[in-house]
Amino acid sequence: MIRPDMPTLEQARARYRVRSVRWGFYWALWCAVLWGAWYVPGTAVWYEAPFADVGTGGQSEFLLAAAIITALSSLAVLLFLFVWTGVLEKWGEYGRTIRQFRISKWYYLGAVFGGPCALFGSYLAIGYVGPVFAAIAALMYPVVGATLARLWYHEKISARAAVGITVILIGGISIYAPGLLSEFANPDGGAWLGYIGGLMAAVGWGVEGAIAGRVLDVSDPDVGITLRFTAEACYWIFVILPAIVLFSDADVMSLIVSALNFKVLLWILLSGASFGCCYVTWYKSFPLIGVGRGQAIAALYGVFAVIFLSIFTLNMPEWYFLIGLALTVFGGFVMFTERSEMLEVIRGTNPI
Amino acid sequence: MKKLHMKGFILRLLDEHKDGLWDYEIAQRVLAEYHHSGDYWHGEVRATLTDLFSGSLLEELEDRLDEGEYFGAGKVLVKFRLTPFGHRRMIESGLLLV
Repeated sequence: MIRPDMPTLEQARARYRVRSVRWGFYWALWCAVLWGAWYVPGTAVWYEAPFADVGTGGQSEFLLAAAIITALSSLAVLLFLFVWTGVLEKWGEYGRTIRQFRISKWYYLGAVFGGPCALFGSYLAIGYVGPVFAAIAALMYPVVGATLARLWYHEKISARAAVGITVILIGGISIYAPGLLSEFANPDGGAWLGYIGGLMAAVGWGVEGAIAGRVLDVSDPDVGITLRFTAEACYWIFVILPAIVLFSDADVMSLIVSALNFKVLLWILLSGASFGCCYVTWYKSFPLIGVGRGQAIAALYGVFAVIFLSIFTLNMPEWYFLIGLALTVFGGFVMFTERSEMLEVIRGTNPI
Repeated sequence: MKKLHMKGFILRLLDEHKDGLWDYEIAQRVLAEYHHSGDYWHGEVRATLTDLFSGSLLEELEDRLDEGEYFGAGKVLVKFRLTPFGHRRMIESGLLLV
C-alpha cells in the first residue's frame, strides 16, 4: 500500500545511491581513526621490558624484537577478528571461502605484503627512527595502491579523486615534515633499517590494498580480512619464527617468554583491537568506493595519529599541525563531495 | 555438493538467470540456501549486491519502490543482471568452468 509519507521512486533511488557511497567513506574514515589510535600501543610496547632494553644487544636483537612484536600483534588481531566473525555469524562463510582456493589464495598473498612486509616494516620504523617517521613513511601507500589498482584492473580514478589523494598526501607530509627533520637529526643507531622499514610499510600496504580490491569483488570483506590474518598468524608461527630459531643464534624462546608479561600483553591486545577493527573497515570500504579513494581517506590516519599521540604523551602538536589538518580534511572533502553517479560503479572496462 | 560462499552463490544464480533477478528473489534464494532468516541477513544480501554492483560485476535492469512487501516501505527494489565483466571474473576466480 502506498503511504502519503513514502518517497517517490526518484527520491528513494537517489537516497539509495548516496547511502552506499557514503558508507564506503564512513568505513574508510573509521579506519583512519582506528589506525591513528594504533600508533599509541604500537609505540608504547617498545618502552616495556624486555623490548625497552633490546637496543643494547645490537641490530639482530632489535630485528628479532620487531619480529616478535609483529607476530604477537597478528595473533591479537586474529583473536579480535575471530570474535568479529562469530558475532556476525559468518563462520560458515569462512569455511566456504577457504574452499574456494582460487579466491582465498589472494588473501594469503595479501597477508605476505600486509604482515611480514608492511606491519613488520612499520614496527622497524617505529623502533629505529620513531613513530612520526613511521607514520609519514606509510602515508605514501595510497599512491602505490591507487596506481596498482588503476594499472591492474582499471579502477576508475577521476581527476577529482586524484586531486583529493594529492591534497591529502601533501597535508599528511606537512604535519610530519618538521618532526621528521628532528628524527633524522637524532636517529638511534642503525636508522637505515628504520628507513627501509618505512618503505616496506608504504609498498606493503599499497600492494595489499590492490590485491584486496581485486579479490573482494568476489568474496566477503569480513571473512576476507579474517582469512588474511589467519594466513599471517600462520606465517609467523609456523614459518618465520621457527626459521629464526633454526638459522640464528638468538635466544628466541627466552625473549618470547619474557615478553609474555602483563604490560606487553595489554599493549599488544590494545594494538590488536585497534588494528583489527581498522582492517575490517579498510576492507569494507574498498568494494564501495574503490581502493584509491578508500586508501586516501584512510590516510587521514596521519591526523589521528598526531591527536592520539598528543593525548597520551601530553605533548601538544605544533601550530603547523593545523595547516596539515586543514589540507587533509579539505582533500577528503574534495573526494567526499564528488557526485555519487561518478562513484557508484568504481570500475569500468573503459577507465576514465 | 559443497555450498559456495555467498557472493559466489549469487553470481552463479545470476549466471543461470540471464534475464536477471530482483533483489528480493535473490535474497529469498540465498536465505533458503544457507538456512538464514531475519532482517540482518536480508540486509547482508542487499549489502552484498551493492558491493557486486559497485565492482561492475552486476548491472541494474530496472527498479521500483518497495511498498512494504520485501525490505521495507520506501526502499528501492532492483532487478540485477550479470555483466560480461562479472562473467569474466567468475571464470577467473574458478566460479565458472570454461
